Amino acid sequence: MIQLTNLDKYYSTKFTRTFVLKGIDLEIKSGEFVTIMGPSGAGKSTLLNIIGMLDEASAGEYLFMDEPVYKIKERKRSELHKHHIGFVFQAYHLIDELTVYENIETPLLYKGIKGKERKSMVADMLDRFNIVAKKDLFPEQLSGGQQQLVGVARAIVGQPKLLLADEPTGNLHTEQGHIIMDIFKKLNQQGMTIIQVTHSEENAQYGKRIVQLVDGMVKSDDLVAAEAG
Amino acid sequence: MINILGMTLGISCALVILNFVRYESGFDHHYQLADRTFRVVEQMKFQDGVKYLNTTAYPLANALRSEFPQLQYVTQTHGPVTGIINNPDLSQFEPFEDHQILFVDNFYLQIFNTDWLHGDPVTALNDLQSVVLTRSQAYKYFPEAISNGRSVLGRTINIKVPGEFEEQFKVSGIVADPPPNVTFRYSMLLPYTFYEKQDPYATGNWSGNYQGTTFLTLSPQQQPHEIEKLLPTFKSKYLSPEDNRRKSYYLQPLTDIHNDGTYGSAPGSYVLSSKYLYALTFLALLILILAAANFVNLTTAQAINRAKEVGVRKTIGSTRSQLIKQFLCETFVITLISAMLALSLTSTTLSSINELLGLIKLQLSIDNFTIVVTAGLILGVTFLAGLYPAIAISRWNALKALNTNLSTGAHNNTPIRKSLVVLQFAICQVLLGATLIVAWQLKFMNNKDLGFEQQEIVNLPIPEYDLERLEAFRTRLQQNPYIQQVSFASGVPTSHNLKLGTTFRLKSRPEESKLPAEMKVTDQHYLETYQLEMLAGTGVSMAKNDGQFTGFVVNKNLVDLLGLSPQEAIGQQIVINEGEAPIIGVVADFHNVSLRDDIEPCLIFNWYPDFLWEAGIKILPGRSIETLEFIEQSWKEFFPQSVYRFQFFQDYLNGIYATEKLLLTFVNAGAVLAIIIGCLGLYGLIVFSTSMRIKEIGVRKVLGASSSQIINLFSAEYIKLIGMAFIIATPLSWIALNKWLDGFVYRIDIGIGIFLLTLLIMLLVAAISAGFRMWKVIGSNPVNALRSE
Ligand SMILES: Nc1ncnc2c1ncn2[C@@H]1O[C@H](COP(=O)(O)OP(=O)(O)O)[C@@H](O)[C@H]1O
Ligand SMILES: [Mg+2]
Repeated sequence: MIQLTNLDKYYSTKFTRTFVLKGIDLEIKSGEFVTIMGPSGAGKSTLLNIIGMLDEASAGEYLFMDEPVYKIKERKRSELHKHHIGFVFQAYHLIDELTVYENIETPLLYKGIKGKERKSMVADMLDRFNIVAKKDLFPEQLSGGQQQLVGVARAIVGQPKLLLADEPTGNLHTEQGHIIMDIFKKLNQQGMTIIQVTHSEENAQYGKRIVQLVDGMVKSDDLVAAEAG
Repeated sequence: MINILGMTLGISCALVILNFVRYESGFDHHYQLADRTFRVVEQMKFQDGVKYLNTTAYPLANALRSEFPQLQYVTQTHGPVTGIINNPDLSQFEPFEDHQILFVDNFYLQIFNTDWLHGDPVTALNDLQSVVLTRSQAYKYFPEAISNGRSVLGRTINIKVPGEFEEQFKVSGIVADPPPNVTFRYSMLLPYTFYEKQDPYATGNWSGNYQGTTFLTLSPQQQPHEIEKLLPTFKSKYLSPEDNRRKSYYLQPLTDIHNDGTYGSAPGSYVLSSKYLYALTFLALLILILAAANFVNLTTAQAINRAKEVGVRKTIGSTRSQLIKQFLCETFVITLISAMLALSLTSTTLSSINELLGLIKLQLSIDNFTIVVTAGLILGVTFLAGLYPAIAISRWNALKALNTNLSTGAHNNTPIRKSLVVLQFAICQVLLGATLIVAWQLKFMNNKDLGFEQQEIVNLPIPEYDLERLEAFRTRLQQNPYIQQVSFASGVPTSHNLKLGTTFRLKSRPEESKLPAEMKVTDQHYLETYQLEMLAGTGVSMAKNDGQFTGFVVNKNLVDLLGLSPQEAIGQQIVINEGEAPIIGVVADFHNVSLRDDIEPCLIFNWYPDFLWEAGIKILPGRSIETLEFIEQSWKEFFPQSVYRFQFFQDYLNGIYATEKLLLTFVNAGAVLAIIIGCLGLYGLIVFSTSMRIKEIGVRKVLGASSSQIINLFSAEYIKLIGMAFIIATPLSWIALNKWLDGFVYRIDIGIGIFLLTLLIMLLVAAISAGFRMWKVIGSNPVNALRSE
């Protein structure tokens, strides 16, 4: 699904060029659950954003579903966001002016899903995350954990093939984090490809593979030892 | 920055307009007795209406003085008239023309107090042939007066008023120049007693065609209605029974004269109706409100960016009132800076307006009043524009301000902010609509078909009234192939200040059926020169040798009043105050008085040459420059004693409508300013609201929104706001503007089109400023939008 070859990301100032990512080679197959770890400033978010096409690489090659990303036009990119990629952010990034219900509904509106089906899909999500009672509240009226549940619901309601999550539990208690992780695991079992960034060893264990990033380079890339539960 | 700019423009505009309004509404107020002084005005009843006159018969003042000894002063004036001034002592002296020669009695200077520089105010006008000069005139005629004014006393000047007299006058006093904002300006004062002696027929005549201005000053405890009450008995004693029945006298406060159009413009002056002044003040207020609303909007919007600062300040122990004070102070400083900038902008604007409008002698400048108003504005705006954001921001609790993403804090304020935006849009639309309509109406008045030719006609004064000489002059002029027509007449078709009044009736109908009419004494070429349209009959016929007129050309309005068709009217015998003659021609209606007034019945005929005061020369289009030289040469050959002066008829018309033009200038400037301020505000708001919602744009892109969907979303929002503003603004401006337009005899009709136009402009401005701003955000990678901080 994702193939990165010798990928660089740098920021140029007048005289210097600061590399954030350098020579990244990474292949992620459909159905994987990859955790990206590493110290702060290592370039994890940058990498995730490039994979999610929120940002562009400076050099190197990125194939998404066997297609070179630099060739993908704006229109197609927005199609990919609609149908194939879901995002969960550390800062939730819910739309303040919309209710919980409307937030979850938004991607479906962009997908062009019609009334009744859309309603049932949103209802499904509300049900699944146990937030039916909160559907008419605005984001600022929710706790952080609840907001992130909405964020996850919004990311997966359109049934994307790839879910990207940048420190989804970073602002949450351990407890709330586990809930999110359980959901991720279930989604992965249902066939969703997931790439998450986390600092937590514990959360990393939910995935199947851990990529260690240090100073913009891949330091290690290991499968998670099969665990019991 | 946008704050300061918008505020500066708003305050400047308000100051300029307020200055002008104050100037125009302060006419004659500075005279010490102004609040007890009245002009005697006359209303004349006719079968179908009332005619308002601001002049009265000359003997009135004397009669008032003897009948009402309790009045403090009564004064009679004549003029102002135009004369030619010569200094016989100086052989090199070029004659001057003076348009402001006023004849006054000794009481005039008691009422209209002025600074005496030299001479004795009590005796100055006692001698029949004395003259009091204003300082600037004294300097003009006697250059040595600049160093020694007193030396001028006792010197003589030669004054010639064409057709009336030419005499020597001894300078008996020098007074300060009257301030520019007085209705009755003069450059020199001659004794009224001289005029009395000069023209005993006119000055002793109660009958009506010979009139001057009469003023009276009440005693301190008197009320004007006490005198007005006695006037009917008074007039019955002096007027003929017929006049007594039709004429009545009223007292008009001196300080109302300049701003009340009822009685028309005083001779040599102009009236600016308070209707205009209210409209202008209203405009200034709207612009100020617009600027203040902008300011509140932008300050509140930007203050949300300072949520963090507020949080930090609160955690370190700042109390709410301290925060409010801090915000108020900041607003104060911004307003102060704006006001300072505005003051300098205002003074430049005022001086350029003074230059622009030399015609009506404005002298606007920044004075204490302006400073006080500015100070008031600063305080007012600080509280208006500073208090709301200050309270709103300081109310947020510390934790919320610290923790939330930037946008969350804004949520509470959204409805209020949105209504402010709507208000702002609405004001902008009202202003825009008002401006377009005022401008449209004024253009309409300017371009309206006057009913006569006005292009390429030059008017010259005629100083001698000798038919043979006039004919010779005409022959001479017509030698020039570029001169198409030459006509001598009492005046141009739109006679503004100078109007020959009479009454008319069919000879076959009773005396009571007579109606007022306006006379134009002309030669046979008048109709062709001004291209008045003939409906029936023939043109003007010449008077008999003894001066008796032989026939009238009348306008359509007059035959309508008689209930006749133009064809039926031909041959009907008409009686006017001055005699009788048949109707020989009918012309289509044209604006024979003023564009502001209705067309009046008009009689055009040839009479004594003494009435042919003015030549109208129609030149071949595009040939004015070379022809003018020829005209001047010929004129000087024929009338070497007089001052040559010419005016294009078109320029004269523009002069009459100077106040309309002035208003147009103000309205245009105000409109442009309003649009600029509005656009600045709109731009600021949109910049802010997009910057607040950049994240949202990013999020929506991540969720799969295309650029066009995002643009649609935001457009829909702004369209909704502008639409709401439109719904509020349109009925308001429609009602207000129709009211305003009702004051005009010839007015435009406003339809929905003009409002749709304003809506379109608003949408366009919004689209441009929003589109420009959002394009950057939408075009870049979403990561830029999502990066926290
Ligand atoms: N727009 C930018 N300009 C310059 N440097 C940037 C920019 N965005 C991120 N960086 C730098 O890139 C590095 C990696 O950032 P990031 O991917 O957010 O790290 P991580 O998520 O691993 O903590 C950091 O050192 C950061 O300072
Ligand atoms: Mg990061």
